[in-house]
Amino acid sequence: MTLIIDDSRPIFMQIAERIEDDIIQGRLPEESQVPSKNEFASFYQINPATAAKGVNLLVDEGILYKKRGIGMFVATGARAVLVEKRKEQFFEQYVVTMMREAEKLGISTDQLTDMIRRGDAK
Amino acid sequence: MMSSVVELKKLTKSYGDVTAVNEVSFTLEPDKIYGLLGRNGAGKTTIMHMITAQLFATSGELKVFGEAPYENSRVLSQVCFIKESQKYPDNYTVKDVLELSSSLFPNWDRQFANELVVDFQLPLKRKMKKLSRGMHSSVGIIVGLASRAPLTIFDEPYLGLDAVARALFYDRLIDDYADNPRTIVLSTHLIDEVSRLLEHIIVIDGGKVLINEDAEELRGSAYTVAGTATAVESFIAGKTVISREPFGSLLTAGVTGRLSEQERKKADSLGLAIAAISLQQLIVQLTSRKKDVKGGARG
Amino acid sequence: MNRVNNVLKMHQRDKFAWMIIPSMILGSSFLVNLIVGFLSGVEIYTGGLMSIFIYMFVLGIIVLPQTFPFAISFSIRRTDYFLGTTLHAVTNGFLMAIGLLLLSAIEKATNFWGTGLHFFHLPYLTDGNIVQQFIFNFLTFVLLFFWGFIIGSVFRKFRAVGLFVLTLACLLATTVLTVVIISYDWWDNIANWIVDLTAFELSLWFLPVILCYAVISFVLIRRSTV
Repeated sequence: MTLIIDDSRPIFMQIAERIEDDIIQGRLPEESQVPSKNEFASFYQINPATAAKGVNLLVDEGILYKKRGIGMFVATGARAVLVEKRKEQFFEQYVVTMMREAEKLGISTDQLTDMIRRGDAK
Repeated sequence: MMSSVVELKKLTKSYGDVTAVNEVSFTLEPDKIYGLLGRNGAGKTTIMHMITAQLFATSGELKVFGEAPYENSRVLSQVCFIKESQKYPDNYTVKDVLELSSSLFPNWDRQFANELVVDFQLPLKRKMKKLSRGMHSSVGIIVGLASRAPLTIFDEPYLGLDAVARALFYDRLIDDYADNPRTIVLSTHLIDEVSRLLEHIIVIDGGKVLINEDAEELRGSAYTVAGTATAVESFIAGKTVISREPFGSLLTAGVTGRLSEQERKKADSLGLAIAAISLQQLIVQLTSRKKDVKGGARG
Repeated sequence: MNRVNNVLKMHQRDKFAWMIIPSMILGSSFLVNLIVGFLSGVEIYTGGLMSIFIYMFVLGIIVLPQTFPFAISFSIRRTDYFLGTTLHAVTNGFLMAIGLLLLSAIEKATNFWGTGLHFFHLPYLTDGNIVQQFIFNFLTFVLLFFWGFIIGSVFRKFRAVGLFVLTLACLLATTVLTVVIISYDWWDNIANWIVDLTAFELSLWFLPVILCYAVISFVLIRRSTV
């Protein structure tokens, strides 16, 4: 199984993001075990050292923790931390970009709110 | 504990006036997967032939597992070199090659070899010279993988193999490497296909080392800026530019370095489009236009 | 020794080159002669046995391009390659020499296959006792193999240019030697000496030549590349 990996960004960051996604969406519940670096390597066809780097990034951030001799686990409270972090990113990545594009096209804030409501209905 | 598997110091190979490899120095550390990349004729194959004592260096120093490899069975028995155009005795069957390999390579895994034969659908009893190009390459790949040599080198090992078979190779390689770490060198021009397998990248260009860098460091280490020529020029001033492609009054420039948040905002305000350069594009750009790339060589 | 053994294994796997083809060459040559013998009903002395000796020479030439690049690429040392190949060729020559003796004995015992075909049991070659006959067969095989092998080694190390230079040098040396012999009027002495030599004595003179060929090809192979 191979998933698309973007070769213009460090892969370990992409791996970390995938794990974060899995935690946020509940596919990796808190206190559950995270696949090993070799499992990641095999699954994404990437170098195990790169996979380990991605996992370690999350360990450093306190999202994952290591049980000696067993493996990596999702820390309690990790999801809440990640959701907060993602909200911040959401604002930068989507809202700011959207506002800028709206400005270019001459869309007023009222029209924009209207559009968001319409999007919500779908 | 061995500090390095391969150590090259100013290794040079010349043929008369032609210098194929020019004072190349690098070190390969244990249990990493290396990409030895570069254009055809850059000197990659010559370097690998010297590492395996199949060619002799004109000057410089070379150590493999801490010793000179020439006629050194301690070194050679730990090395497996699979090349694109490997010759086999005319009368050899696939089985002959595999059986002999099992006595030549101390770490040979017979069961793994048998599994690979099934995976690659190889006819064991067929003569090597009657195999299709792709099957011929598959035999080399099987030897390279099943030998589990502490230093395994693949030089363009998949001539004639289709995308499915190549994917199979990458899959088996990474799986087996995860369980049996060893130093692997992959030399290829299919950079896009292998780059995610690599931990470290060495790019050879014109017989010299152009890049010697951790693969992850290289990813996202360059980007393109596109927009009106004047805006682009003002943005790239003082930066290391690796490519320049004018298009009417527009300009697209390739730049190395990471973009700060401040720079990103500046680009935005100038109306410039920023796009990351993939590893493959980066290497292509660095090795195709030598005059512009002066500052492109890193580390 | 294990490493030399691997080279032996490498050659042994090539049964075509070392067993099947020589048997076929000798067998077909013998068969043709036998049929001619039956049909004609006259006593035949044939040189068909030469074919197996010539094949050994050819094998000496082709063994290098066939196996050297392969062996070197598969992590075999040059020294081990040379020792293993030498050992294999010498063993083969040994077995073939015995085989020829046996066939020669059978030929004689069957009253020349009942047709008067002298294929294996030839005058001059079978003049000496059985040990001398064996040594002649054996050393001739080894000589021819190394003769081929040294040609292969020169080609390996110096390619076509080397082979061309070597050929020129040999021609030149022969010419000079001939001129010297003629000018000093040595012809008669040399001719007498050769005529007086038995097959066994002649084969002993092969020994220094074999040694010389072997040493030179060893040195060349040590410096050969893929």
